[in-house]
Amino acid sequence: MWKDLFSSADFMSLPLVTLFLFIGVFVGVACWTFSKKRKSHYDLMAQMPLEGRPHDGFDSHRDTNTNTTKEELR
Amino acid sequence: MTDTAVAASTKRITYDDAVVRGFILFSVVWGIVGMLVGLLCAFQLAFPALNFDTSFLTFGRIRPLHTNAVIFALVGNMLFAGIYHSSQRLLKTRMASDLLSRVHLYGWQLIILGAALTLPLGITQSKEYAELEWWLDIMVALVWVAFAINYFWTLAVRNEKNLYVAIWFYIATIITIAVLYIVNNLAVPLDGMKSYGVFAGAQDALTQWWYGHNAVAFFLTTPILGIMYYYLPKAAERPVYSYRLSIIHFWALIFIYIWAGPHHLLYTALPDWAQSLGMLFSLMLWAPSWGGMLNGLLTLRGAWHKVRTDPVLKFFVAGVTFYGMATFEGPLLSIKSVSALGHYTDWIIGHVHGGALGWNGFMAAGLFYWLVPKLYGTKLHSSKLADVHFWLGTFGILIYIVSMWISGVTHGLMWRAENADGALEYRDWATIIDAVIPMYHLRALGGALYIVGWILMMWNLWKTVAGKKPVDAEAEVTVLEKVDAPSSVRLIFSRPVLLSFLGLVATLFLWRNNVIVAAVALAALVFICVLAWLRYQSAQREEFRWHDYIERRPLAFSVLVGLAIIAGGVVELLPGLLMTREVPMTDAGKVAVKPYTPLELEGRDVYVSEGCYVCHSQMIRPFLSEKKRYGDPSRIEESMWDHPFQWGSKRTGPDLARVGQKYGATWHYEHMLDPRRMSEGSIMPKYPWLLTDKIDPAKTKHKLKIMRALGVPYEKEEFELAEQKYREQAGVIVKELTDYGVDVDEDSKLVALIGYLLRLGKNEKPSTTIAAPAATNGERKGD
Ligand code: HEC
Repeated sequence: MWKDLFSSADFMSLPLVTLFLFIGVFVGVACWTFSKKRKSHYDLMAQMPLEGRPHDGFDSHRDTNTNTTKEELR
Repeated sequence: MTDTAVAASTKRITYDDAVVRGFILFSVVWGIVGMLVGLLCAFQLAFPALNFDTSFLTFGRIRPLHTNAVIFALVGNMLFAGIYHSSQRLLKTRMASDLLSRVHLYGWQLIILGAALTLPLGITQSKEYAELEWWLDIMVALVWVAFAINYFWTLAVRNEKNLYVAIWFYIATIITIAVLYIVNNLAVPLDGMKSYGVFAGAQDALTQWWYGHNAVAFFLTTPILGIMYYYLPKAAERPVYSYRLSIIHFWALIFIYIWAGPHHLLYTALPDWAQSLGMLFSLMLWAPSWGGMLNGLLTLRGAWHKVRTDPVLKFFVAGVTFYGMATFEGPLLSIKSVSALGHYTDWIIGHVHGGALGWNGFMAAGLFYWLVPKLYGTKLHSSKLADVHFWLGTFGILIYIVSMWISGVTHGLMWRAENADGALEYRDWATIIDAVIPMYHLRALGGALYIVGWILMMWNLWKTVAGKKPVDAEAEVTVLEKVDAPSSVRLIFSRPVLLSFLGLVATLFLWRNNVIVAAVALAALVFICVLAWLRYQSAQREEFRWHDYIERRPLAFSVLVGLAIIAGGVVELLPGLLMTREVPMTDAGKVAVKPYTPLELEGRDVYVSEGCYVCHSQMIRPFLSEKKRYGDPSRIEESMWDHPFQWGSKRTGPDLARVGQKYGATWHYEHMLDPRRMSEGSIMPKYPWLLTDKIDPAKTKHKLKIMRALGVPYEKEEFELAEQKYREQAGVIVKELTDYGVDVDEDSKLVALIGYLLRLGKNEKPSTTIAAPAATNGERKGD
């Protein structure tokens, strides 16, 4: 079946189809990412590196992270 | 929510920071070695005597050492340090296996040691950034697997439900590099020191630059972006400017970057469609890359005053800015007309150093200044010194880039300049070299400044940690128990994924020649789209949100990223790999492109081993000026038996694709032993050892056997005749040299190399061009 497919297809088309498919999926993901509903989720996610910040200063070596589940804040 | 997390208990954990310290140490130390080798390379181009007429110090062998060392040792160790440190904190758990972490740490250094020993000895596959021979490749694969197992295991036992975007970038790195590295290094070993890649000619070129480009994307870019998205907010003490943008940035790299490889092969014998695709995707990369850069810079909103005083932020800001510069220049260079001018010149060298020194090197410095004091529970020894480092580095990079711009554009213009009669204005290569030698001096100065900065950093970090005890950070974490979450398998086979797959299949059938099939496929496609829309609508109302879960299921996430990467790769490579390798015939019924004779094959291996490809291309582009200088443009079938291809990427010397039509054996003899005897002002190294180093022609038959197994049309009868044929052909060259008055051993490498050089460009034109599947739309201009 595959051989059949390739022999009948112009070889320009396979990459082109996939190209459009990839662009399509990418645009889809982009739209979804910018959908309004997700804002609070993103705000939470963006805080992740900053947890335990007060203990991260140059004069301390303790990384005391506490992780109250984010779900509660949602 | 079906996925509810229940806080079962809290637990005190200690992070494995020792492995982080290890990677940092090796990065800093290998880094200085790798950059010093680079500096030697820079000086050799200005003063060829600095090759010391010594095989293992010669430019062709140590340039690959430089690139491998800075990519895999400096940046590699740095990114591993960042990944191990930030992942443990983001996942709120210690790495799953200390043993695997150590296997990764020390295994990686062993590989680098292997590279440092083999590359100067001329043991190389000659594919750029994939030069390491097969057994080192296997080691790389094994260590990478240890890394991957450890990482996914850690993800499985994590105490944090959500995966921060940095983790996505790391996962993509682990998966993609594994795929790229294995495919590009597929080879059949000859013995412990030599192998032949399974791909040849155009296929090999396509595979190599699919790898080469994506190594830049997924080794030098994605993991460092992950590091940026974690450490920049940390250092600036504010969250990333737009988390959304960081997600877009990620998917853009996955869906778009992976395609851009062919921009390294513009105006080569590669089919046109592949070139255009490479250019198109490269241009599309502009947006997400700049989005990413701005996202990084805007993270500092309201904190710009800190940049003035904090060396860490200084390095990060400059690093991200250089990322923006390099990702602006890259797409620019992949526009065909710009590529026509810039390709093969020093412009490209400047471009990569903007990325390497500016983006990778500065991000590394920022990371180390931030991390090392913390890993020893202390403060940085001197912020002032770090400032000095910053300014030395910045000036060094600017001098480097600007000198390479000038030199590159000068070369590009001189190569094509014509006088009033339409003849080449600068036929003599020495004049062309002469014009840029001052730029080569400047470049060495820029590099030296950068290295001095790096040494200051080493000193500064040393003073910071001297006498201090290493500390491993601890944390109190809540152990999560997961209840009733959909499995990864269920996610992969979930409707969005299945619908996308069906859509792809239906689309493929659109291109069938049969109208009915196409119509049905179209209908199916419309149906699938409607279904997807309905599904999306209902998902908005339901609790189960597919991507939310994917985001939290690293396995499903990884499989999908892997599929996207592989799909992109297959589609890009497939047409090339399906090209027939029928023996091309001339109108007169003769074989047009004959496989190499035993002598030529051995000579070719000398060419590969000496790394002549780092200075010479074998790919004449379809421009009038190149035709005048080198002869007819290269045709795709001319390299069809070349395992590996030798198209090259840089013309420090002239193209050699048709040099066989130009000189005789005696000229090559003199030139190889002292290029300046034949070409005053040449910067090519001398190769005196080729006179004394020997080849064993009795063993050539084994090479023929492998070549035959790989599809090169040698007859079985030729195996036993190989040595005899070798000696016959070598004898002719030796005789010519004896008549000329010099004594040369028949078995010397020099004779084999001359045999190969004399052969270059002596193929006949076949009656039909090679059956590249796209040959119909691939008609090239210059033919
Ligand atoms: C440092 C870069 C460099 C390396 C490495 C190098 N060359 Fe060269 N080569 C040059 C330069 C520059 C020229 C032009 C000046 C001259 O003729 O010497 C040149 C010229 C040549 C020419 C003459 C081309 C012509 O059209 O006139 C041949 C043949 C050649 N090189 C072969 C080799 C071989 C074989 C190797 C590997 C063993 C090699 N070169 C390695 C830089 C290099």
